Amino acid sequence: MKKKHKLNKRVYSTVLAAAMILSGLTGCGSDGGQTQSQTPAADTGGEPGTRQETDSGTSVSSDSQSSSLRPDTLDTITVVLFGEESPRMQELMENEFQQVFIDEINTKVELMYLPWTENGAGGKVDLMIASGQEFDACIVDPKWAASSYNKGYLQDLTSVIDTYLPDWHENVDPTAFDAYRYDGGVYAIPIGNKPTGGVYSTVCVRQDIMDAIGMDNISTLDDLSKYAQAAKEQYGLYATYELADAEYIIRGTSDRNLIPLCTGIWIDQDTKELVSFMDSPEFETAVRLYNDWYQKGLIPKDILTNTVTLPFQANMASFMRGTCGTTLIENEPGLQTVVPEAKTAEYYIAPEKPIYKKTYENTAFQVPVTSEKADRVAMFVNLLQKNTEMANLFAYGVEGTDYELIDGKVSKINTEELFYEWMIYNVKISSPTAAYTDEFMEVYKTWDDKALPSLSFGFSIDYSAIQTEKAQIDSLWEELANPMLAGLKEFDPNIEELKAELQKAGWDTYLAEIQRQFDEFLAEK
Amino acid sequence: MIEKIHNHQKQTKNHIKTSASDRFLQVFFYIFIGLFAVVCLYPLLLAVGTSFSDEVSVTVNGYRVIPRQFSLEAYQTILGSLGKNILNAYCVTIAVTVTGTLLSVVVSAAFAFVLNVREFKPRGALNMFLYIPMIFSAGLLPWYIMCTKYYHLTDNFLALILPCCMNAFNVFLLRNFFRSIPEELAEAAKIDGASYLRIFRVIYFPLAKVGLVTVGLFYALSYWNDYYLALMFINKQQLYPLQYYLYNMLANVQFIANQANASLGYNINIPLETTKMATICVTIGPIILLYPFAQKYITKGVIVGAVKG
Repeated sequence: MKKKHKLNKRVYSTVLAAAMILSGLTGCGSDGGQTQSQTPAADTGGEPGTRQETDSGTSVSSDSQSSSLRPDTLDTITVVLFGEESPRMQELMENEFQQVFIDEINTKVELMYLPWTENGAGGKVDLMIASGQEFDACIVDPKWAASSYNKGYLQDLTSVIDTYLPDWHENVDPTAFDAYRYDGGVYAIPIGNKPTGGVYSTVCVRQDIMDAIGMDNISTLDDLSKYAQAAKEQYGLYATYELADAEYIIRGTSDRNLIPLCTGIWIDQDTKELVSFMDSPEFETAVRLYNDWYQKGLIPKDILTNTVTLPFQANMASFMRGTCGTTLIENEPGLQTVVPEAKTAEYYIAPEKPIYKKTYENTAFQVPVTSEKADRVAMFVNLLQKNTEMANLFAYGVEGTDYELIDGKVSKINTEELFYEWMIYNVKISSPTAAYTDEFMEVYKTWDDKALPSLSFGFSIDYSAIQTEKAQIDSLWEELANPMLAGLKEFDPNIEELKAELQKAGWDTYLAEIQRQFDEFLAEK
Repeated sequence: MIEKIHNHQKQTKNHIKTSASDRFLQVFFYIFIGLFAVVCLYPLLLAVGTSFSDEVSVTVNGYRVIPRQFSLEAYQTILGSLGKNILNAYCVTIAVTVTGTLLSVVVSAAFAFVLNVREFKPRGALNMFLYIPMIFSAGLLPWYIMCTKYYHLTDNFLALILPCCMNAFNVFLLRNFFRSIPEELAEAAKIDGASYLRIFRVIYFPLAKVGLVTVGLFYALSYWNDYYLALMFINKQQLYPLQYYLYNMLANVQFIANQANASLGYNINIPLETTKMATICVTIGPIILLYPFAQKYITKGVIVGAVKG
């Protein structure tokens, strides 16, 4: 009996050991899946043009024009979007939109919606690619695209973009491709065209308060301090819920042109060097400024813990980061529900310094390696950006039913979301909505004219070699640097501890690795 | 004689007087439990109060049980033009919860019963079969491939039930319940010629009612609250269960709120905090009503299941 028990134990332990090994192997199996899915990428990278012709029945030559791009055979593509398909969108996708897709590119488009939480690396889209589930396109941003490229999930679209995007090339800045270029290939097709020069480099303030206190401009940090002090005294508003490393603050701290890159590292646009932010005079100036504001009660005590969504719009703060002169559209309507007489304006601190364009379009369409219809996807994106008629149709719906054009401006009848307006909006072809005044559009259309391309545009960091350092540095930065940047901790007693702790966490390795990647990126550029 | 004993018991009962310290303890426990109940209830009241508040007043004044500025905006956002979809999602969730719970209870009880039948030789192996996945997992990808490529569960109603049809913990809980039933009952029935199915149906099932209700409630809760299976396998909006529908909606609201400052095209003020709270109120409504009815079974069931090894 005892022997039998022993035998059972042996059998059980063997089974357990086997299960552990199998479990380990299965874990590795997922990598295997990734490696497998890389193979078609290599194939596609070879001669994608040829394959697409045979796979999806496209019979056009590479020099064909837009009108002759329409393939002979009908095919279907599945496009993954995020959010929720509105009832009106469902209706249009079954009728008018679908008809246009068939008429123009002989392609049926099926949409698959996922929650926004799945937008990014490690979400369901990655899982679908790794498991070989079929879909043909999905929207992506540069950070996610970099991660997907490293996993071998994306298809090289270089030859496709030359052939199937004739209208796109007329209406979108091709520089937008730079954010999706890796090792000489292009791995996503950007969509939309909006000014992005100097985004977050302006400070958005309350113009009504400025008028009341007799200020007509904010061009230095002293001006900003004066404004914040007056707004606190006369209106009881805190200065801001943003930290001292906001770009518009750092812009006013020195003559250098610094643009943030990643945790603790900024780029000097003139010398092309990476700057260790904690060692920089800009960090010291910004922390001292915020500390002074905190002593004066301008900074809320819960700045680091209150997750209030839009404090400026809720009339809790007197300034916030600006975007591209678009505060009239983005902030003012919300603010005016609380303070009806409120007006807002954006100012550059140190207006004499150059404005940098750090990004072109954040949204693009990726084509997974599992898809064999990259040509159809390119035609689909091209159609969305073809001309005013198409851009308006897909963003606003059918004219007369979903919107009306009054003096060249869109007045919406239907407020349900169709194809994302923010994705399709192209300043060259889209009609603006009635909320955009003519004066605003004048400024908006030329907003980017003076902007210089940022050095780091198109650069994405591969953290795989410094994962541990990165995790520790992020954590320490939040724990030690953020309280300083919030003004809660003073500079002198705390800076040495911050430096020492970051050094211990591997700061030198972290900086050196990112510097190496950046040097390589610049050399290739 | 019996009367004498009864009288003695009555006298004894009358003679036992609660001391001051006992009374103090009793009062203390009542107050303590009362306060604890208030502490537990308070967040729920906050959620209800906030769901009926104006978004701006929540941003400025924080959460309140009694709204400072009453507003139905959050409920309008959730139920407004999408009311039909919410109703459909409710129907899907109820169908999943009812079907799933019944199926899960039957499957789990049958499995647990088999583990208690001594004559059934492979029960040790079955035990291991149940136990190993509790410790080792094959990972997300193989599970996903298995469900999509082999079982073809994509956009299938069964996708919302089958992957979590049997929970190992609940099976062990039921096995312990069945163990508490005297084995002699089954033996007697067997001598009388009853089959295992009959023994299971006529003896074990009714006697383990407490355990079955407890486990049933656990399953019902997990089916009601599940959104992950829908996230993994469901793309058709007609098959969205309630939790997934609201999860999706909340994710969209969050995205739109973040997007408002990032690009041109959005100037919509979406109620965010209030929407979250309204979502909580809408989703917990029906399932919270189940608790009072099943409460006596839950307490008893968990205790019995826990102490028997």
